[in-house]
Amino acid sequence: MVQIVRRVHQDLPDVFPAKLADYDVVGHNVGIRPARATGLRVEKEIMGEGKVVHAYGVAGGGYVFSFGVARAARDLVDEYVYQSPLAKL
Amino acid sequence: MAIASLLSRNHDVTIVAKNLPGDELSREWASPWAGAVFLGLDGSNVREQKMQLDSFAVLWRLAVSNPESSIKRIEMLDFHDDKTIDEIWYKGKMPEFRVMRDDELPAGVKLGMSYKTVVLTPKVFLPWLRKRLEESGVTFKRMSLDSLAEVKSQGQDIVVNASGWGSKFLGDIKDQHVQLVRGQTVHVRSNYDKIYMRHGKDYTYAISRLDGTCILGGIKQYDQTDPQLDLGLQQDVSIPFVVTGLFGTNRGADR
Repeated sequence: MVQIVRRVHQDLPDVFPAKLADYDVVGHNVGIRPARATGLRVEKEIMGEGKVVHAYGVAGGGYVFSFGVARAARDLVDEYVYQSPLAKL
Repeated sequence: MAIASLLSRNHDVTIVAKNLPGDELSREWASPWAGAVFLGLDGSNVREQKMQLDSFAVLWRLAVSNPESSIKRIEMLDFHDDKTIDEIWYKGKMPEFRVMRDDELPAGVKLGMSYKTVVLTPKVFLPWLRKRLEESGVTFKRMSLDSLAEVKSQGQDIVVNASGWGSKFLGDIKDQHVQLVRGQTVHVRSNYDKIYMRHGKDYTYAISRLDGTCILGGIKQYDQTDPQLDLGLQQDVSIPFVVTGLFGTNRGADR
């Protein structure tokens, strides 16, 4: 916290005070971001009998990816649903 | 929920999760704790870039069509200590994008960009989206799962695994690539009305929520040796096993 405050003060001294004590703190946020070392996973997988669409691993980009991952996942669901029997071979 | 919002137009959707929007805040999922702002992510491949821009387009529209969602348009000042404009994949893709002049840059900054983006307040946005989904027929079901296969008992045709770091623990997935990355910010009262982002040796930001408060950050994600990481918050770090955000979809026509 001290480190964050020191840095924002350094960059925006007219806006943010140097000492945490001089702030009106609303709360402290700690979030655990679900990252994936090899990147986002958005893909289909047949697991046993089950049709699965994976959509995870956005790390700190939950809102950044939200509706975009949603569109990709929706398209993958529709591939399962509307796939013609012939295409399955 | 974003996925459900698109699927619910053509499918019957049930969201299954241990933690649901509107609950008392839990550390077991990241969404309630986010900044939360749109910022093109460094190192994204072309597919990821497209997903981000698709997402931005939706959020940008919602800011005007549904202000009660808490989404607001805001000015972004995006600074980099060690990057050139050629390394920025979203250059020119954000509204009112411009490269800042040298005399506008803080000391030590090599590249500055100014553009419009969106900011939202998770504790308003998440329950708002849930309510909207429920009104369009999406069901929310509280459930903890040990494996993805367990949702089969719910009778779904297709399961969308949006379990975040649950994918590390679900018995039939156990994706060892999934990492839990801790982030820490402080939420303060302030009239600052922009977003200030600085990437470099440190990752420093001030995110105005445009409601008289700001989120200040950030803690370097993988730097576990920094004693400042803990300061009175250590008790929040240990996270029990959890599954979040799983949902299945029933195809209406098949029922």
